[in-house]
Amino acid sequence: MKCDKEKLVSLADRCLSEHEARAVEEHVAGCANCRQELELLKSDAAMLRQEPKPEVPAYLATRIIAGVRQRQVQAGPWLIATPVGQRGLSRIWARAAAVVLVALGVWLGTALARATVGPQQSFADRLAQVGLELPNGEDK
Amino acid sequence: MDDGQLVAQAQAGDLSAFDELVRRHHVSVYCYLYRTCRNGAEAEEMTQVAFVKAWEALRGFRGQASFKTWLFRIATNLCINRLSRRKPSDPVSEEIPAPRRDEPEEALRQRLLSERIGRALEALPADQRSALVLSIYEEMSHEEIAAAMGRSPASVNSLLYRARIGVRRALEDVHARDLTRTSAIDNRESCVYECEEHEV
Repeated sequence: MKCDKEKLVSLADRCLSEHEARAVEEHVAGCANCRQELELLKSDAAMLRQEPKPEVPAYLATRIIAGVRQRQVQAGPWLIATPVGQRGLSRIWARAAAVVLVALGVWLGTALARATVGPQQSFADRLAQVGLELPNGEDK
Repeated sequence: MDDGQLVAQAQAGDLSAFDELVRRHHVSVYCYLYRTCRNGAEAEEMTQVAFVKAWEALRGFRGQASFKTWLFRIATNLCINRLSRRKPSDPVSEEIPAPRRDEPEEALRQRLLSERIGRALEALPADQRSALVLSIYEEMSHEEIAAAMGRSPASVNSLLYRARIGVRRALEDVHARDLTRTSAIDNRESCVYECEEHEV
């Protein structure tokens, strides 16, 4: 195995498989440069880990939760995920509403067509249907 | 209840399950963002934005990675975008107060160490800094870092090696610059010691 500095980082971070780690360790045992580099990598990491944890602002979680709820209110109900148990039910209602709308559209269209281009009847004929007639001399 | 179960409940519209996810992960997200951008106000704002974005995108989360890794990917994108928008002239980190005479020695040393590490990390490009923080402080595996950064594991190995070399050099520079300051602290300590002896 040749010197591979990136593999040394993986070894120092314990991110190699057992087989790979063994191969790198065997190389390191016989290579002074890699041995020194591995020690430096470990000591760098140990030094960085000495940094204390940052102080977390008070009530951060509460403020985040409030922010999420505020976003929820601003965005409206479509941001809320549909509860799994109600998904099937919502789909059925949506399909039923679509069918009703299409049927309504067809009926309305037909009715309008009848009214505009339907059977040609004169005004006198329509009056006659309800038992009335035009006075004499009126133009039919 | 594990994260996966809470995610499933939150995806079903249960906001209280998402609140629990916030309580579990807000500290690690904040610490990661703070260590990467070195600014408390920015880290706090980005933490808030990261969780809001996570809530908005939660329906699309399919669970290929853990919730934490997915959340860190959102945070990483925010952080790298923010750092890439910074101009070289912008003040990078918060003003660090000068040592006080009455500051306890251990607190002072910790603060100087943080300052030194902070300056060394700031010398790294944003992607190297993110990878290093995820590796050292969040103790993520290279595969998890790759998932959190949207990169291949091989490129993460390379990124981490360059980050380690970069931070080592930067720490040496910072250390050299701080020698005077450290000796001043040592002088202060010896002065205090001498004064105490004199009083006795």
